Amino acid sequence: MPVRLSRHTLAAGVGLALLLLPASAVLPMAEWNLHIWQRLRTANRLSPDMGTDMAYRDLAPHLPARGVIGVHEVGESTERRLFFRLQYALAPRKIVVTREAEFVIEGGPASAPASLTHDPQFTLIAAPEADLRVYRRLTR
Amino acid sequence: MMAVASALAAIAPVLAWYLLLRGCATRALGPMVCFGAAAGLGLGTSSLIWWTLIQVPFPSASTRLFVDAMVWTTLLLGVVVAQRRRTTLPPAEHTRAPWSLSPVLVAATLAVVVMGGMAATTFAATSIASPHGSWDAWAVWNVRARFLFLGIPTGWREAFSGPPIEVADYPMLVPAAIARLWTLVGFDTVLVPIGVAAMCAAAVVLVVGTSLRRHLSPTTGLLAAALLLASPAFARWAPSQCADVPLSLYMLLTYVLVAGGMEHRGRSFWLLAGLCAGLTAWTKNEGIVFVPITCLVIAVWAWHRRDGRLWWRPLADFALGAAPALLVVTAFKYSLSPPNLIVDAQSSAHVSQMLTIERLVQILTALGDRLWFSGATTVGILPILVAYLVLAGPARRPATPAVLTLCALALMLVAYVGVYMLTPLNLAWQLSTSLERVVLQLTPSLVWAGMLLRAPTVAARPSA
Repeated sequence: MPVRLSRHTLAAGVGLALLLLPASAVLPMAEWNLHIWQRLRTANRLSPDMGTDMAYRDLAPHLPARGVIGVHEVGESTERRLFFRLQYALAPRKIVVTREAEFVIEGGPASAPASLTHDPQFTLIAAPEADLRVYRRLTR
Repeated sequence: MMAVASALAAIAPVLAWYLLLRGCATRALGPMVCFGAAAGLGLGTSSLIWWTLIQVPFPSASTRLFVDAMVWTTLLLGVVVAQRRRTTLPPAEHTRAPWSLSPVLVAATLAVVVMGGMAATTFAATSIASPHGSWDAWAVWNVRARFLFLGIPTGWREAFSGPPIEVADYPMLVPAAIARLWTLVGFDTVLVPIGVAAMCAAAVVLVVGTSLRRHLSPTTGLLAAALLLASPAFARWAPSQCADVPLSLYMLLTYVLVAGGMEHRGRSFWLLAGLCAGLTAWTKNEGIVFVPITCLVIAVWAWHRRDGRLWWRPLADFALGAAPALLVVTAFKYSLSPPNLIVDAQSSAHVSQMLTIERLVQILTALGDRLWFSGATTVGILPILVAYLVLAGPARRPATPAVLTLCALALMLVAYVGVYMLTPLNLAWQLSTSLERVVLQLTPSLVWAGMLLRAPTVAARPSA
């Protein structure tokens, strides 16, 4: 006996079959993130996201609890990423791209000519990582 | 004991809304739609109340928490007492064709299970790899939540004052809701924003699927749910912890409740629809455009219908429902928020420079691309939806809510095109970083309304 398909049944079948096309683009996303997850598990490490946030939050004891904190970037890394990550980590302090604040966080190599290491107005108060330092202004 | 109290306080808003929705005329929506709506309304209204409480200089954080808990306990008790007194309405009759276990129903169920599994896996894996969310999550949304959580009692205001942090003009639903939950938990755990993102994404799929199941058939509901779950854009942005998926939830709930108001004529539908619309404005600046557009569409519908002296009442109830959230948004924009970047840049010279055919073509091309692909590489879910509708055929007289929703969404797209035309930022950069999310905001409503075109117009029932 021939089976008659209703329009809706046909449409639903076609729709479900076509869904494989966009769904196939979801697979690489899932695979990549699972790959990252497995690598982190194998290495017994926190995600870089977590690690960065914790590292920046560790600067807090060297900084006042409130107020404006300057950020200064030397070298090749992007200031905007450092700026946003510091703002996120150090809230409710306000991060401003400036060297004029009393406390300034510098990203990049200390050997760079523009580094505050070479500026007598600043003293280094913390260097938790090779490319991350906290300076305090000596004179205003 | 404290952990239990905190957990109860955290879920109290959702529980209160669920009991309210189940008890009043909106029982007609069905338990699953009520649950999805309760999740959204609980998140949004708890954010409104928490934001209001933050403005008050309480002597301690514990006092603020106590007041918040008292507010929700009072509301919860009020709902329970009111429901015991109210005469319950019979459940709405839905003229659905009886369904049977057909191969296409089995296939649709399988599709939801498989797509849902993939989407859930992507969500979990992305959240583990990036627990603080995408760039915009930690640069825009969660950073303000940290200001509200760590900057009590007054330090949080520095986020909005000279110079304010980036995009400080963005509304505060997501940050305030997260800050409230962090305050209840006691620390700013990543599990809170991840949980909020998961709840909103799940609620969107649940509301679309179960609403269409009631209006049409289980197969249609499952197909709609599978469509959303198969969207690469949805899979990408659901775990991002940005505000686009919550915004899409409130937009969807607005239209679902408007449909309820058209069908059942209960004032509560219009009030709740207005509340959801108001919450869109508290979620993102796009909501500030959404509210008047939805009001316009409802006004046109009410005027066209004009049955009785009180033909304007649905619009009035909608506006009344939106009022609390809009008041909070207005106070925020007036007293705290710095000027919006796009609005602030407008001048006659700027406008005349921006209104060019080249920009319009660039925007429309990019918009067409996103509507076609939605993050996919060959074809996205919206063309598949159109193909399904062409094959299945819309109803001879499509349901009015579907037509109204599609008109409103078309106007939203026009508004978005207008904003992109006038943006002072680099257009190519802005399109590449935001357009996919902007289309995603409208996608659940597009899927819901598109599917609903197959539902015949239902005569409005007499009001209770």
